Amino acid sequence: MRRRESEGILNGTPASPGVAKGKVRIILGFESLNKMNHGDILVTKFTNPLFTPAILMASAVVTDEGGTLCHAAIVSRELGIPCVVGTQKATKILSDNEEIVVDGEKGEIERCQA
Amino acid sequence: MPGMIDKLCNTIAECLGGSGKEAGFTVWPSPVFNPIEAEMYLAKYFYERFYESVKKLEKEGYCKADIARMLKAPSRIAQTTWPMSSIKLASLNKEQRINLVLGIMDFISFYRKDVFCEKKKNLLYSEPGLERVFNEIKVVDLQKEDNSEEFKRELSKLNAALFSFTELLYFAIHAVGHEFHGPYNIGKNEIMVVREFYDLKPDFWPFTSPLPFDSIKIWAVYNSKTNMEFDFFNRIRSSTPVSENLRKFSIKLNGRLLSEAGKIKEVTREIEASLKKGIPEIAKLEKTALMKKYVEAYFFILKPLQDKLGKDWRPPLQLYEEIESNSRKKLWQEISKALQKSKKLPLEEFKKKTATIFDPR
Repeated sequence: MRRRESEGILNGTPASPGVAKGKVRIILGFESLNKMNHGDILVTKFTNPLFTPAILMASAVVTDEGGTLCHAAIVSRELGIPCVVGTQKATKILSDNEEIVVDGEKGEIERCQA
Repeated sequence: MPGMIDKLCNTIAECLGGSGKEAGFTVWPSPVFNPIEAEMYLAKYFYERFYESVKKLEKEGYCKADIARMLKAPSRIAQTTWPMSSIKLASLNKEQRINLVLGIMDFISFYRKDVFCEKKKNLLYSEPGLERVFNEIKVVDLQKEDNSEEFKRELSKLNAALFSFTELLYFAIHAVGHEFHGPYNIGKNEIMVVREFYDLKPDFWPFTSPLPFDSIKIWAVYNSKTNMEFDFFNRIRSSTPVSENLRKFSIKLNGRLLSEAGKIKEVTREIEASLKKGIPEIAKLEKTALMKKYVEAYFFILKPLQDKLGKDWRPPLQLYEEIESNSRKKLWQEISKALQKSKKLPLEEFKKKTATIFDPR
């Protein structure tokens, strides 16, 4: 059963299994790819091949749009990192540097306690 | 045979529905443009050329199997059905359209019995073929390797980089640059999946020319609990972790076997270097320039047929001119509106409507 947003949970479509904890890095376009550090969680609207250098550095990927066959999902599965797609609003409600846990099997993103 | 066309249209609808109804809006070249917009421009010229070149080759004595072989791989051939929603823009009558689409199905059936991957597998090796492959390749058995984790990490990174690379080169029709096939049951609770990447240096992307290889083939053996499903367009879906279930593998680069982790790392670095060179160049391209590249990716599929006929493979000048003059702007606006509307339909209704749109009859 899906947990509610009031519990600090953001839901999406599970796209690649695994659990990862890390800092949010919101990347909205190719120009801001250099913001990404190794181990960050890439949060974006949707990815395309231009995002590859950032995905290769990410510990998990979260997107607003896309399904289980989108670029983010396929590449994350190949890399073996968790991925949740289609959250609709991850880029709007998450902020850079906040710590989150991504569960790619349940399709959940949870904020870590400060 | 008309049943085959219904099946094809339903398969395309199923694939689109299964990708999420916003698929066209989130696949590369989006957000620059929706692939359907470019397909409206290219469909006329692409299908006319496809039909004419097949007819000319047949006239010169080539049979269906010869033409299928020229087209290289089944999933590459399957990509030619994506623009079918605009096939009626081509100067082909109904009979010619049906003839062409049935011909496409024939070409695919040359490679695989399950043309539409209805069993969610893409099986290209026959049983004796599978055995022959096993004798030819030298597999690295990770259970016997001290650095098995390093191998798994490097191989998954290589697969991810290569997949992204083919998508960068060929956009939404990335299977022009790859054929993933399997899963083959090979006993001992193991399955094998083959990832073949080729034409990694197409001449319409000059940034790829320094890449020291043009093709790479990866045989990967997984624990049979690994669930991997293949669709008609060669997309793999998996609900279980892939890389951690890897048991054995073999890699052939430009025909040479690779078996050291360091060498795999080197290949990944080459791909990453090419990606890093190409990405800024591609990101700078404006919509019109990128759309010209997109149509070139389609016409590249027909290159072997044109080569055989001694003709230029590039798209006709009129197509470039139409893109430049944005001649289908109004039509695209109407279609875009209809697509946005159809996203709101229940899934089954969406599939039904989509199947009708793709029907070439």
